[in-house]
Amino acid sequence: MSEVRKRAVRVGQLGRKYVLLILAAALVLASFSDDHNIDSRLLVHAMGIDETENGYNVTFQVFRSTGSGSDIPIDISMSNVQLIKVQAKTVTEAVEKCSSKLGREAFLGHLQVVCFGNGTDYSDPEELFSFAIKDKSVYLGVDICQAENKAEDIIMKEIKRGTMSSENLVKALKENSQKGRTVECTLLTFLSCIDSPKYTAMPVISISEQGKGDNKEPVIDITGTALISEGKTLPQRLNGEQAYGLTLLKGDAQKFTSVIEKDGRECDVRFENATTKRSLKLENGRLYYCADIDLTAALSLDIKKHSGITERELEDHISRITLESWKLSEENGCDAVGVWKYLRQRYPKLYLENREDLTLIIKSVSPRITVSCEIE
Amino acid sequence: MNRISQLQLFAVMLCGHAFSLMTFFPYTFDNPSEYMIGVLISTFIEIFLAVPAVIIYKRFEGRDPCSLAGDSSRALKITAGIFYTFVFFYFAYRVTGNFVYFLDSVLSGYFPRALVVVSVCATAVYLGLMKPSVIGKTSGIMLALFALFTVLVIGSSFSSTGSGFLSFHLASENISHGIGEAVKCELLRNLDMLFLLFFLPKLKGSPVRVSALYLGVKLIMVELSVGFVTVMLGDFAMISKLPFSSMASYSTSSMIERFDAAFMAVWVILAIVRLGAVFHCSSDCIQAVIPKADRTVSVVISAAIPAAAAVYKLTNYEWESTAYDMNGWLITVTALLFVPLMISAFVLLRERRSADVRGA
Repeated sequence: MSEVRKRAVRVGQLGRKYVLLILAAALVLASFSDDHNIDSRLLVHAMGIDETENGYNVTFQVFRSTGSGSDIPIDISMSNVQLIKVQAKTVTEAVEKCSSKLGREAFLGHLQVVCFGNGTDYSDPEELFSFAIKDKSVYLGVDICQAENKAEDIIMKEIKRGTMSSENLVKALKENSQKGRTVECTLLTFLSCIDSPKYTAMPVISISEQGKGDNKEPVIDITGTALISEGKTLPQRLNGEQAYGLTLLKGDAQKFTSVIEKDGRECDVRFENATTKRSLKLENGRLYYCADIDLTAALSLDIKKHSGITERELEDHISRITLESWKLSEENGCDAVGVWKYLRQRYPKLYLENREDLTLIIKSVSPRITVSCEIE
Repeated sequence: MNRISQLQLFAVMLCGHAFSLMTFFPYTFDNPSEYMIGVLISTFIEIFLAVPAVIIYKRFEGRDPCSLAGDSSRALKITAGIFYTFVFFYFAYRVTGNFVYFLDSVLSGYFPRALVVVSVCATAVYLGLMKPSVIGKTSGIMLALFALFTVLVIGSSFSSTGSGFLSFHLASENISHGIGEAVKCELLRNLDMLFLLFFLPKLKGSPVRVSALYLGVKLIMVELSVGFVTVMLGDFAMISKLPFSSMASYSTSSMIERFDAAFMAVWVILAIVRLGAVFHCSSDCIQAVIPKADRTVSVVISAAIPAAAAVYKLTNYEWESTAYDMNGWLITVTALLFVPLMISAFVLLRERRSADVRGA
């Protein structure tokens, strides 16, 4: 190897060592930053947000381990939460105040459920959810629900089943949405329509005490599905069957067990495998939302043998609940079905012309629902 | 001379674009359909941007523009060197600043921005000092990881897309304006095609295959990615920082729904790979201007100046306007098309004059 080349190789090797030294120094210096150990963080599991005249009352359920000895860091017979109530002008400010109160930084990465009080204004989701938009650690699948009255009543209830109190709320919401008793509403449901019309449906939750004497336990109940139109909650609500009807119209229905009366007898019918073909048609100057629903119904052998429920009757039942759901939501200005999205895609010109007042055009859309049901 | 294979160069270029794609979507347009149409149109335009590299390869035995300019005159070589040095400084400035700014949005101010700049640039300088094949191999591994994670997330989220396809529409007041803006955005985000010009002397084979592969795969990658992110996130796709890490939330698998950390890891290394390639090429330009400059010093200067400029803007919290400013598309077109063609024309003119003089 020539002298020049040897020198070039040595300079290259030295150069790389200098760069590695700079990198190591930078990494070490980067450690001189704010210390955020887990001890100095508040793990927020649930939030309750109630709108007031002066801003918001925000209730936090924060994880606090209640161990019953050195071997058991978390006692699952306890709720393992600390409850904090804060008043602020915005929810983001409330999060900051919560941190200040407890002297630790609130970490929202473990947030599982956000409950809003009845009467909350959802017309500006960017402002309402700014605490989640700005904080990338917030999981977009956080469940959103509405309280029967105040969100504080829900969040302040310590439920001692499971490892943490908020787990029970999440399980109740998921179980009911999977069973078709309500719809699933997550943070992404709001954020995915942030620049679009504000129509959505969300579960309504309440907690009651059940049991006797000292054995009373809080029980979570999904009391209905609230309808939100242009940020405001409508007085009408969907019950369990109507919520299933809504999911059928939206095309994301799962299983549902309904009770059908036949010849004075109450019969359980389980509907499943539902598929919906949806379209929006403009005929003779009128808009029609067409939904072709196919599903299967399972009856128990005895009931099938004795009740004589026909497929036609089941189809009529499904048609009835979907029409009821349509009337309560669409005809009252809550486009929970998502007709506006079809309008925007299929008839963009019409959408743009009526963009400022979509609710009016949504109310004028007529449903055309056909149901085909097969008994297993 | 250490050489880079066609597939490796393709990986380097695509990694760079994958970084842009994962970082954010430019919101200069009303809806994603406009962006997707804009990307398609810009890909056709980029075919023309690849032409100078092909001409240089066929006619001038695969030289980079700066050394080719030296065949005409030393003054042209220095001018070309200075021009491309500044183009690479701009490129590095944007990548460094975007990396730190968007990283900050995830890890909210837990550490000083200046030190993040130093850390990422030092790592990229180390990569930039490596041989082209090392940069190529690193890019290949990162591209494979990016593809794997993206396929996993899209595959596990596909069943829950539901009515997400309704997010594609053309309900826009001025569709042509939106598409025009999307074309400009995509051209600016495509400065990675500069690697085609500057890795040309070290490329094993023709740049035709590399550019065809890059443009084809890039088009598919961008369209599919924008499409899926839009289906899953709706309007939020346009305002979300790091939309890819948000996409995982839609997954039906409880493991993959928290894959945002995996995407972050891939995103960080894609930034380093992109910067490493930029510094590598930039040092060639500096050495074209100052032939006696040491390679290591050139690479460090390539990192230090853009990093200092980025730190200034970042510490003054002025980066957001720079990140979303898509007016630099002319730099891409000038650097990829006009300047190499001009240099080629000057060299051809000189050759003709020399031939005339010899003939005379």
